[in-house]
Amino acid sequence: MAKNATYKGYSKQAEKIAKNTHFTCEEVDALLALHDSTGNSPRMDGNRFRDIMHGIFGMTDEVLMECMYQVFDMDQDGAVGPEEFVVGMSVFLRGTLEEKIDYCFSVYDHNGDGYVSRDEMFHQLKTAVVNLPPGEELDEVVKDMVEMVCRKLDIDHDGRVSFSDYATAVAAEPLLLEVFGTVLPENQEREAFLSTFLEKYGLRSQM
Amino acid sequence: MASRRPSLAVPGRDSNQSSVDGRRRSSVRLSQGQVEELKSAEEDGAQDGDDDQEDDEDSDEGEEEEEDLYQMDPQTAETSPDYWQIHKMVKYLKAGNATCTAVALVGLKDCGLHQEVCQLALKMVGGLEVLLNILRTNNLRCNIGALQVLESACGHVTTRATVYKLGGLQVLQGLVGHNSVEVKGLAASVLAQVCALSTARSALIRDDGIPKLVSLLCGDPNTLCNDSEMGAAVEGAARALWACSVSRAGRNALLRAGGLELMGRLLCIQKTSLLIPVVGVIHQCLTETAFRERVEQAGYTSSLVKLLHSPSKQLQVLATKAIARCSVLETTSNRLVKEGGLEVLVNLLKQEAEPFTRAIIERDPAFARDTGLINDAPGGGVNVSRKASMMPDAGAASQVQEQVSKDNGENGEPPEGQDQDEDTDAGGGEGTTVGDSELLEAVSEAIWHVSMVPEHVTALKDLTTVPILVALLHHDDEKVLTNVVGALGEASCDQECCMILLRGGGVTTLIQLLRRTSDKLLLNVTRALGSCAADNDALDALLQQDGLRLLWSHLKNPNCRVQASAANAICTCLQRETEELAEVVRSLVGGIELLVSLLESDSEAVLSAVCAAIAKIAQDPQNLAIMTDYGAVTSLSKLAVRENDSLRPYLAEAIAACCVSRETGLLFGQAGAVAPLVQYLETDDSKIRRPTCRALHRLSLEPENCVTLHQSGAVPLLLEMLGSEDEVVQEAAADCLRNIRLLALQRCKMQTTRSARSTPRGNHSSRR
Repeated sequence: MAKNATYKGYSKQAEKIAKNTHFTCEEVDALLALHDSTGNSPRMDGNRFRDIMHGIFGMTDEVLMECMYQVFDMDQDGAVGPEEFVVGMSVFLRGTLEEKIDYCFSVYDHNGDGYVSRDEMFHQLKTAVVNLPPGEELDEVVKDMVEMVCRKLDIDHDGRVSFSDYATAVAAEPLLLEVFGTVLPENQEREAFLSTFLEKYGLRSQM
Repeated sequence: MASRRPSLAVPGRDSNQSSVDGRRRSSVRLSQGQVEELKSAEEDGAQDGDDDQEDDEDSDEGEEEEEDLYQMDPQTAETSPDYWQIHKMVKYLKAGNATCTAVALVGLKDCGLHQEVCQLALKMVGGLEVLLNILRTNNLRCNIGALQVLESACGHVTTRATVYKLGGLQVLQGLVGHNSVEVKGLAASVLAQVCALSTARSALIRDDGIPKLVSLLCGDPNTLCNDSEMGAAVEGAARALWACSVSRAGRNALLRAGGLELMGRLLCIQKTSLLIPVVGVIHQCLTETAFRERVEQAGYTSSLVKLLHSPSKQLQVLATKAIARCSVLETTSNRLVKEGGLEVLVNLLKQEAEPFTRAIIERDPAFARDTGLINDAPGGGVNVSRKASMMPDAGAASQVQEQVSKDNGENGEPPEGQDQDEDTDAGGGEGTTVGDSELLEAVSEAIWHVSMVPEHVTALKDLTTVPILVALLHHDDEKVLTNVVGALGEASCDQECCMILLRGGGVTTLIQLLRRTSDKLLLNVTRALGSCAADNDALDALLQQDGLRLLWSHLKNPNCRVQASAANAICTCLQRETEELAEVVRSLVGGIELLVSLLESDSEAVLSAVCAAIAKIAQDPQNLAIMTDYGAVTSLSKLAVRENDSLRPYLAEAIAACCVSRETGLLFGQAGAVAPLVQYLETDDSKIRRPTCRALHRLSLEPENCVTLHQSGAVPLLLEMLGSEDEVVQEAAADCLRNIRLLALQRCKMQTTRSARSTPRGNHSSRR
């Protein structure tokens, strides 16, 4: 059943949102359907968000997903509305390097003070070490890695990574983009989603 | 991996930051076994092709041996500070999830992997296995990082070998087909490095890896300049294909996949780093004749000529080598001359030959002036009109004059820069090699090939190439010498060039070069001397300097082609037919015997040349007697039955020359030379008819031979000859028939007298 008034194959709402994103209007409609499949909860909560991230994109880090949710929720009203969702997905799936830098840094900066401190880094990288080599101390290893990362990222040498530090470093070395944790989808999952979501959630499939 | 404490570094034994890539290219001499392996591994091809291949393979294959050398050096690797860093990074690579891996990869990239020590270290801590495992995952970022690390690490031969043994080829090949352009390009780059090993190369070709690489090249060349990712990918693919095209199988695969055309399209792009592998591929492919034709048809030669101006030395050398190879084709040669490519080459030659031209100018200023070598001489310009013309005709003189003035203008800039560098060389110009003799070798080879077409010799003369070539005769490098002598040999067919050669002391140098042992060089030298000897003055010089004896000594050379060439040269020398010359020939110890013994040779070329020489020598009766003593008659007669058309004219000449008396005629007849000779008349070729008729004429002086002639059915053939347009043939045939007829008449007379004597008895029937 078509809910919103559709003409031209997509809704007015979609048209409005699509202007700010890398999606076409049909795609925005599909995303809106994904966001709110029952039509009853226009505000996505953390659990649903995590379900999507985990189910579709295979993400596992709960802490990170929580942070991502915070970032998606741009107006910080505790829930992710449809527009926020679509805009967030635009960066998530098809963002340019600058947009991605912006997004990633926001996720990593837990307390939102504009810097990523050593403690935050330590905390993050600790979860990254999975198979600790025998004879090594976890803390030592993580501290070492933090040192290394700081060397590369902390350009103004103030002991913490500011946004401009991060942006400059990543522009020079793209590998550093997700240096504190995976917050963007894996290539395979991304491709898979992009090629199928239109059929799966698009308005036409609902008709 | 157990953690280790670094040993106390011995003072002074600190991290040997060894020199980087220079070592990689050193050509270690192959052991005999490896050379055999190489030869059997590649299919047999044209001799030149193989030689070139071997040269290329040499520098690559030498690395297999180097592997053993470097195994001795783990200690040095261990004591370098980077070693522990690398060790740690590899540990972290294995220790965590994708994030951790990314961090570790970034750390690895910082470790200075372009140094050999670090590459070794990476291998030793097992980093390569981990990297390859990472490549087998799907994580895009990590793949890119791992590929980047591998790209730097595979600079060393041990790393490459390890990567290959660990099955890296399959992984990399898979990645060439990846979606992401960046990954494709990086994978191709790494493949390019790994395929420097011949084992890896063959494996890649067998696994059909080439078509995938070729498909990377597709795409509009114009957009490549803007799109850096695509550009990097194309570059990587080109480099990989270059590495593969070193082997014949690779070249064939490349041709089948249509790679040549795609490469050609890329020739118009201005990026040097892309052009180098592209020209490299084309250069390798030109060893195959089929490729040469295609390259010529596609017209890549013009683009290659443009590249000769490139500032990059490597590109220049490669382009010149490519042109040298394809200029063997006459069409390419013509194109070079027409489109001005020859001029560019000659300018390049002048540039490279600076010290040598300078040396010759100092040694013999008059020569330099006359031949137009002098440009901006010190003390004001040399007055062009003052030059005493050594050229026989005025036309050439004016040409040279023009050239001098052109040179005055042209050579204004280039020598200046080089002057400062080569000032120290000026005094000892003779023995010094200009920094890069590779370029000189290629340029001289190109010029040699161009000069093989007679019309182009004039063009070369106009560009005053010949005096420079004469100056280059003093170069050290044998390959350069071979090419230079080859070019001079072709040019000496022209009399003026011959004179320039003579005046510049070229004949002397050539005779000195006869003492060398290289086959190719000797072949060219003998050929050059042979064509010089056509000119009287040069011949005088040659004989004065004992050239004949030296040439004769090369009849002993094991290589048949050299023998034939030497014999040809000797033949040209003997054309004068003087008493002294005959004396000289006689005086050569064992000379005539050697010559006659060559009649036993298997090679057709040798036989023809020797017969021609014998024909000349036999003009002197004493020498003829000596030759007969050594069994020349029997040997010549044995050869008479050969079917070879190219041999026949020379053989007939030789027989005609040798058969001056009835006795020798008889010898020939007894040796069975007559009947086969008759068959020679069955051809239409006038080159064969003439000497054959003369030979038969001489042979018919001996009555026995006349009988044989008659029995072999010579008469009808000779009658045909009477109708020939050639006077010599007519005369000889007529004389021959006359002799036969005379004999027949005599026989008749004898029979009639015999029967007249016997008629009183009246019982015997008369025989007709």
